[in-house]
Amino acid sequence: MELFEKDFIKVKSKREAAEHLERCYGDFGWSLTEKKDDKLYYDTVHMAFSRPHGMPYKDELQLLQVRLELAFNKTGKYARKKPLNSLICAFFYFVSALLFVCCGALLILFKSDIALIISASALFAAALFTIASGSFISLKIYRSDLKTYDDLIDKTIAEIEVLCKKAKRLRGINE
Amino acid sequence: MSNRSRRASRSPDKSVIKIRTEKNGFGKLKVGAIALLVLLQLCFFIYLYLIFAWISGVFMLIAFILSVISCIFLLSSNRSPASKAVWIFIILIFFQVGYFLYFLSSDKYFFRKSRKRYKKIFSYSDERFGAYSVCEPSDCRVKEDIEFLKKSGGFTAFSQTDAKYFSSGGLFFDDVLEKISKAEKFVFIEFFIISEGVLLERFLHILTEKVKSGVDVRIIYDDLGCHGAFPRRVRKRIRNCGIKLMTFNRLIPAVNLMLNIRDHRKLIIIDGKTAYTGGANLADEYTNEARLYGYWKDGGVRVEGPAVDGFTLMFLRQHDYLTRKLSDYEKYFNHFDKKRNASVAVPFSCGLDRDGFIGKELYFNVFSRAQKRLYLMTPYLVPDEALLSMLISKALSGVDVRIILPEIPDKPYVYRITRNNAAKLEESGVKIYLMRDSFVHSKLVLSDYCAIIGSINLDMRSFYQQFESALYTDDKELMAEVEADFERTFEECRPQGDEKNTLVNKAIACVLKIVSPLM
Repeated sequence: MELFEKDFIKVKSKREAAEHLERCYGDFGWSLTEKKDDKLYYDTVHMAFSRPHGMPYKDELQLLQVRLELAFNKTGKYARKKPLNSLICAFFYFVSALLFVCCGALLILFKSDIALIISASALFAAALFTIASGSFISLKIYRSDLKTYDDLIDKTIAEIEVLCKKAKRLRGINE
Repeated sequence: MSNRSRRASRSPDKSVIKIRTEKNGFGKLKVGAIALLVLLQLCFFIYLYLIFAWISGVFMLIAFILSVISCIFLLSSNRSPASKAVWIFIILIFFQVGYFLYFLSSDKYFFRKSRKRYKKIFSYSDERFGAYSVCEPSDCRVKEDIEFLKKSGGFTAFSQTDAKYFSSGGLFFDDVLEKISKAEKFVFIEFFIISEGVLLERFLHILTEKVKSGVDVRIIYDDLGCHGAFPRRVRKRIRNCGIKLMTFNRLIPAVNLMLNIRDHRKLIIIDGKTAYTGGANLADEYTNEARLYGYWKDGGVRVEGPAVDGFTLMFLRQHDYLTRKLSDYEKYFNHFDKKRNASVAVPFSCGLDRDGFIGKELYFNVFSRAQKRLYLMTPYLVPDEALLSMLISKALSGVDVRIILPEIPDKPYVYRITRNNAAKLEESGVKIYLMRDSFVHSKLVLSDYCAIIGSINLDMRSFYQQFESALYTDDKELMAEVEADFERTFEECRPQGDEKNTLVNKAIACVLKIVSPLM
């Protein structure tokens, strides 16, 4: 009877990772039994797997599988972190530029004094400079973070491959 | 909204992959609603009291006198020193209502009738418990432990019993299901958590067939442990199959701090010939078929031989307490002729049905008698000061003390205290291991002369409040199996020392530690 002969898991994953995940689970002895799109979200798929209940080294495989799943989620976490610092930086510079513009605009309202008009112009110039420098710095931060997190993602993907190799070795599959 | 426009949005879930996890939303809602009702009742009583106090100054004087009397009773009680200190603090600071809260929490009053019932059951069942061959262990430390268990709880030390250790929930339940499929007379099951899922389906498939062939199947479950996970329709289905299902300490929305007393045992007895106990509950996460907190590390033990009668007795007593009827005990005990190994096996339990804190005292004794090695595996490390001091003292004396804890916690606030205690122990030479990417649920003690496997956590709840079950043994083969599991698990661990214990973490742990005796 299937209830005793097989183990089952149901997995919800991001669409872009589904194929890779399917291959990895295959290395752990899981066979895909069902795959369907999520009813609400276009970027999510649901997959169901099964494998024989009585397997040698099942506990070891389960521990490796948990590490595999955590590694997959780590890649997602790194991907989300890529633009984070640059966005924060850009936001800070944008707000600063906005403040300069507002101050300049307020000064122009009191346009009776030539000094105020000159000050307002300086503030507008400062705002432009802030935007320009902010864009440059944010882009630099973004490129640096992109490299850092891409390296981390590559390292995590390499870890995933190592886990899959260990799983195959435990199952007695020679490469 | 059309299907296409509904699917235009991205999932808010940030995880790349999510494996099936238990949804306990309804259970949490139910417990939350009950807690709120209890709190409202409590507030109402306190409000009424304060109205009277405001009307008449005499009430303030009475409150003061009652607070002093409560403190005197508290100091003479057998609560732990930490618990006494916290309660004195509460009574004196909130002296208008503190004594009232203490009264509500005291099991002397609220558990008195239950204790009387248990005593009656114990006295009845003791008369019907047979005589067993005397154990003569060579190690005097084992002799002292079994003497303690006999005198403190009337637990019999059995010999001629085979024991086998299982290092995971999956292996444990595979063996259980195989044995249940061969049951002929009775199957007794007692769990803190029974959860709907694949594992329960496997159990019910076999148990339903067994009931049809005349096997007596009884299940005890804890109402709080099973909240939200063991729905009414499943319970109804089980009862309709002819399985006797009993609830321990039903959750009711009334001011009653006895709601905190739970049946934390994990017991399976089959035909009086085979018994199991350990850390695993009847739920899919225990066999890693559902994912809650990373890899779930658990374990258990199977006994075959006269010691099974000790577990049968444990179950039937709880059964008789819940049904208010006395069983025919002799019918369920067995007579074993086969000669097995001569090691000692003592099934024991602890809980409020007994005087004294047997689990805690036994742990203290075993720790103090360890001379070379003391390995512990526990999900929580919230013992009282005496046990912590003993562990420190052992480590400083050169005993190899190692504790395996989870890296992924299930209860963050308890985990803070656990890590803080672990840091304190590590300073004194105790080796702390965190099993990577895992939640360690096993409750294991391995000394150089004995092992304890069961449901007892290294925390105040297990020692002072909950009903627990465990096996104490000096079986060398079993101890070697447990040691091998420890060695394998050490390789999957990382040392705790990697992380900095920040000032904020220390402060939070300090506050939590104050209330931990009340948990």
